[in-house]
Amino acid sequence: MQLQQGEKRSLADFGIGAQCAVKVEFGLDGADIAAFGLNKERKIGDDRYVVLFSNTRSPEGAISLVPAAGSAVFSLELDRLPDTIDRVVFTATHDSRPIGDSRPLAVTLGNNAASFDVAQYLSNEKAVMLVEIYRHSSGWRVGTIAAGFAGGLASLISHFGGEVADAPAAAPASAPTPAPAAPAPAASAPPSAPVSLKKVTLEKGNPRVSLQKTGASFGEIILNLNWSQPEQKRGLFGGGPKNVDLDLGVMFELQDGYKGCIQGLGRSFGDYEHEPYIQLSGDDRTGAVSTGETIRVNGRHFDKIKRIGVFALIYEGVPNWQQTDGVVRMTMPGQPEIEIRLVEGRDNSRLCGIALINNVNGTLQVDRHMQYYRDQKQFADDIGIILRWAAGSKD
Amino acid sequence: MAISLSKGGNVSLSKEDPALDEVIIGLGWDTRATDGTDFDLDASAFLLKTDGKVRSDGDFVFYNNKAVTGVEHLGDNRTGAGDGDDEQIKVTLTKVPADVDKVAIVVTIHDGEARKQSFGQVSNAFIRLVNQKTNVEIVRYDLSEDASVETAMILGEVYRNNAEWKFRAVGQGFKGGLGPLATNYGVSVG
Repeated sequence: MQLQQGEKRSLADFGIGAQCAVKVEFGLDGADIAAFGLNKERKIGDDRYVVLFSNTRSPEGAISLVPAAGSAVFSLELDRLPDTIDRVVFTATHDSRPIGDSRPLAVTLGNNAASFDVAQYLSNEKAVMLVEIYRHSSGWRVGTIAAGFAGGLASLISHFGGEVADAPAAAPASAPTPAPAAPAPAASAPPSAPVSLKKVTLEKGNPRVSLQKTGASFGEIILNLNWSQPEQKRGLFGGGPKNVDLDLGVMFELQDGYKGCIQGLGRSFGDYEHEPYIQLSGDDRTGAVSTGETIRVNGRHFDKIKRIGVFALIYEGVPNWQQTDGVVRMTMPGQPEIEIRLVEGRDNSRLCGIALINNVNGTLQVDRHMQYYRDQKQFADDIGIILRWAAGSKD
Repeated sequence: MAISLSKGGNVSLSKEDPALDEVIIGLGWDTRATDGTDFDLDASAFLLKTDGKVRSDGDFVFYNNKAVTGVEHLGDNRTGAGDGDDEQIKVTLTKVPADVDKVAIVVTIHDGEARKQSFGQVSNAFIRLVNQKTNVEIVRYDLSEDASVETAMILGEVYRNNAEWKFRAVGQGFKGGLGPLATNYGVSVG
């Protein structure tokens, strides 16, 4: 049956017992679906009961998440939830767009026993409580909500009595990892500033941005790739699977015809002051550096650059893009931050061509690419940067 | 310590507080925490005969008819802001006319249908009875999770049981809002 906003029902009405599946279907790139296990005061009492892409399971497994393209399926074992968890609120959030833009946006309980069409009730909320499942003297019940906050995730977290971390937590000392090749500067501002009103997210429906120079030249253009960090600190949005290593690289072509590839593989780090004016700032092979991987482009010499193809590579292990939740951010002085999330079309290919940066008569144009390839050569060929290749391996 | 009733429960006011006469019925709810149109909740009282109907339209006490003998509406709060009671209705038991068998206390969501608002979205609604002279709370009913898509809610009723007065926690929702609810009690709504 179809539920209305504000409706409350006993799960037993739908023949649902302690095992309950909650499926959230959505159609909005970059939407994050989460389940917040809350205490009697409707606050977050224990971060481990916030289940989302980076923390897909509560400690005893009573709440678990299987994310998929366009949907998130939570499995609940209500009788295994500790007494301290009084209710589980399911939410959808987006960094920049109203959740109401998502079509569909629907929650289904059990085996289609009940469903709730959320989108019709929304306006400009960027963070939305969809439904809740809660304890009641008569047993577990479900309530539909479809209300939220234009302020997005931060407002939602604060509604739940929590705080949003400014940056992903650094890996603790207990991690048995080798020292990163190039230590990140201590206490430097992370590139992932918490909230920027000037952020541009390149998505399917909004794949291009063009930037004009604000001064004599573009300044330092920073390309940063970050992904889910190991699951050692169970911060709200800090968790993630282990052993995923993403490399950031670029294919480039200069105006003078010089072409090449900059990547950790083969130690092709490039040069910032001289051709190709592009440099990889060390390689974080452990995921221990919370700032991920960074390539700097010398914007003072942008006139000498014709184009740049930005890619991410999983060079070892099974290419499981699903688990990485990679995001590339491009920042430069006086310009909005540009963000591209590795959200769609994930498959088993090793290389993800993320974006193309073109010099269009001095204007810096960024196009979201988001296509997957077998290797560097296939990507380079596809974007028309023809190089001579030999197989390489790291170190 | 006040008695806390759950849905359907009742208590004898005369036994709990034999000196009780002037009763303040306090109603409260939390203001909306999420973005969107605020809830505007209104409290009303219906003086009902044994057949469950009003004697006349004047027995419907609400924001446009603030008082009838024995029952007085003490005011409206349009946003639900502030602690404690959001609206209060005063019942003076000894002044309630003999042919009135019970006083039903209801809360309705103003324009609920149009605003797509229902009691399922209102949190922490309660009704409590306080002895005005002693300021002691006698009984309380927290609606908590009993409400759903209704736009009108019969929260409780003060009723005669032979020579004593009792209070029942009703928590009965009613679809359609104040108008249909009033009609249901025999009021001619123009």
